[in-house]
Amino acid sequence: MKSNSGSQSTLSNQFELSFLEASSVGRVAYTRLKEGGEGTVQGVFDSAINILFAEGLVCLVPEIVQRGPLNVTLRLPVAPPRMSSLGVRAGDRVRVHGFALELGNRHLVSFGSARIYSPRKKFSLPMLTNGEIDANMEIMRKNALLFGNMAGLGELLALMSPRTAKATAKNLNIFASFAFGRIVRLEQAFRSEKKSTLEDAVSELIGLGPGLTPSSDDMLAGLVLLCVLYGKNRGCAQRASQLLAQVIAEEARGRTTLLSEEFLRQAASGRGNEPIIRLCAALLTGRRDSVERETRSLLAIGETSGTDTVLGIVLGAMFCTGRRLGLIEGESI
Amino acid sequence: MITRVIVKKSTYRDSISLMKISNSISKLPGITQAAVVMATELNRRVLSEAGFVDAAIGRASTSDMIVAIEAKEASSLDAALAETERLLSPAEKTTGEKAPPTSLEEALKLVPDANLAVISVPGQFAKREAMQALSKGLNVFLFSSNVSREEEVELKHAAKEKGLLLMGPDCGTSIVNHKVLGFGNAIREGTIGLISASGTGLQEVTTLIHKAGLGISQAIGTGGGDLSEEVGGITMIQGFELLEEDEQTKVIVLISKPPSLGTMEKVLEVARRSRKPVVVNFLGADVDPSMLGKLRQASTLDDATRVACELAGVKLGGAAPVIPKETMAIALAEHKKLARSQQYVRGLFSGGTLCYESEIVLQPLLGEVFSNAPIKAENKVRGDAPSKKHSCIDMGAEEFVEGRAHPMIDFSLRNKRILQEARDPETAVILIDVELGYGSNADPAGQLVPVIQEAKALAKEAGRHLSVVASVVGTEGDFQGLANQEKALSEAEVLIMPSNAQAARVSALIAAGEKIEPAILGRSN
Repeated sequence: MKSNSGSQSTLSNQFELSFLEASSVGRVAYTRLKEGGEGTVQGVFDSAINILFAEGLVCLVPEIVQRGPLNVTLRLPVAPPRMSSLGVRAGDRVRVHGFALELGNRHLVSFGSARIYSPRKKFSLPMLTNGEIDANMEIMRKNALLFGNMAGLGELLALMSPRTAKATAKNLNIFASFAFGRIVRLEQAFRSEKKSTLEDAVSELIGLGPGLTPSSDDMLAGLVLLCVLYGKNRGCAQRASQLLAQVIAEEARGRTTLLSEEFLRQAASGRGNEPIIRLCAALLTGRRDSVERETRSLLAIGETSGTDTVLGIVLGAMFCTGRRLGLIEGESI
Repeated sequence: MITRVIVKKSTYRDSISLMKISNSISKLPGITQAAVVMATELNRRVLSEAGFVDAAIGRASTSDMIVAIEAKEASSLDAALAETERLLSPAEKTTGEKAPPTSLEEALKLVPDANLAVISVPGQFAKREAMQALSKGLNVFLFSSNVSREEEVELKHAAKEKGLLLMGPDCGTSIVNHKVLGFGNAIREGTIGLISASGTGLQEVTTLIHKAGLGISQAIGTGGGDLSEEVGGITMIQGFELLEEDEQTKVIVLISKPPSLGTMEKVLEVARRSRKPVVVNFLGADVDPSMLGKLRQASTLDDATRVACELAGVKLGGAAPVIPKETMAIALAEHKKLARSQQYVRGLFSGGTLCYESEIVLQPLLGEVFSNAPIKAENKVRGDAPSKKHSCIDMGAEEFVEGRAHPMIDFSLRNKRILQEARDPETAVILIDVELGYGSNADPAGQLVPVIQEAKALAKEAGRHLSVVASVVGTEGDFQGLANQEKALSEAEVLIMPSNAQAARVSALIAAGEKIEPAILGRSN
């Protein structure tokens, strides 16, 4: 294997590189890679290597992370399958040659036989009634409270039940406490259908909380994605949802981490990683078993990201179905 | 209070690392607040509102990381800052240094004389990797789960044809030539050889043998599916033949949950031909005495240990079940403290076999025991449903571990459940297992004690007394320190029992009181 000092590597010396095969490429990632050119490794984590190209981020992830609009999923011959074990480091150059990507003079990633991931925004099953969606939301909420990580905004899920609201409200963590009133204002702004009010409310949430994708962003991504998909599948795009998507895409710029900004923009376009899309589909069209399964699967993602996204999806469903937010809505605590 | 803010320019860590660093710093002595967050505009504002005033915060951008710490005194702050630097540094190094091997071929170049591969990849890739290892002449310890029975059969036949051993799939523990593979404990070298289709069952018996002053020659895990009808005990029989030939092994112990009848006959037939004494512990299996011949049967894991030690020349205490008088007195005193509503034992287990063994112990003493892994199909309940009467929940079952670390490592779900049980006015006793050793959490007692204290306080607030009974699977050689762990639990008023089965018996006695004393002592009433 070559050292990392030179930058003269071309495909002609690929025999010196280790070969990795991609099993799927997200539609957005594919568009960015097709442009060719060079990128830089922005971050190396166990679950992803993020590469910054001129058009935006592309994330190399092991297959267990699953498909997503920005993801290139890799069959990783490493146990456990950690991207950080590949020896790539932040700042390494990345070159795209046709359907292959040369990574830090160490690896050649082929995406020539990968399948393109582009989730359908229109679900295959018919939409449930709002009452049935309500029941599914409750299943999600209870599972999140039982199995989720409450270090981000997840505690707010407990505020939706009169039984647990008062005790929880007294002990909210610093981020949940900060976000609490702002989510109430976001709901009011959503119902007002006024862009300027929505801009104020969204800008007060973007970038808040722990994590590389801050908790509020995960929540907003789940919320806006659900709103967009609800509109598409009900066949009556709601003006409030359209406005919310537009505002989130605009307000994300420069207010949060680059990765989070990308996720928010994709969510506002109705795109998301596979587990999030599957949970939205289960909530709007599925039965108890699938809602539980997909909720658990999403909760397992990241540290607080999964729980925060579940909160967002629950809130999105409440916004769309017109269900009142209970105590969150403004009852004094 | 003094505060300090550090801005790390263009520094990225994944969310899990950020939260771990944040939590570790917060727990240091003298630290009142700590946050490690990305420097977004809102996070900067939240920190300012929380009292962190520093010009560096204003200059930070969204790609920077902020570490904000508040301490009672300067020395605590300095220690926290040093710890932060230490926690932030290893990942930087690992990405830059020489990369570890990324394939079996690369690994074999590094260790050309290796004869065993440990494989832990997602189930869908496990067969491919295991076949590759077998084709290179390597024995395989296959930790991966979610491998189909058909694939398991194919792999085991391929291994057998090559004269190799395939331990697994879903094999949690083996100790081969005194090297622990997967979860396992520091066990003394000795003359007892074990073959087990149960990971925690193997851990329990090997640690009990060690505590009895004896040791083991080999401990071979087979994976939970080995004694199914389809697989036919291929690995257990291969393992048996190896131990039969092994000069160091003087006694052989077989451990499993109930095997299929056909496979049990096949395995016992091989065992009956053995020149060495054999102990059979097929938990809950209905073994016809004619199938046993000279083989010694044990009903529980501690009973298997007792019989094995006796065959190896060391006689331990009386025959199980025996509860010392002092322990009986403590249990009965606990029973007297219970409120009228408190009637039930609630077992919450990391180890699947320990859960199963507890059900086997509790059912004859208390009646029906409900479980997500029941000994009787009609007593099956969902693991996440509120407990029903006497319950034993296997928290390591697939429903709990999807996308999560095993409960021996990640205590969060079991801790939540402990609090849930404490709130239930019908809960008399919470029964738990604690596993030490390689692969397990670095400080199980540290994870459990605050939750147990909270659980006891919750019960007390409601006018009840909550008993907690535990057994600790481990030895003094385990890096967590058996004595420290037991001491910390005892100080939290956890009743520590020497084995899982004993913990279950004592729990039954606490919940039901004197009326089951004759049954515990093996006398008819």
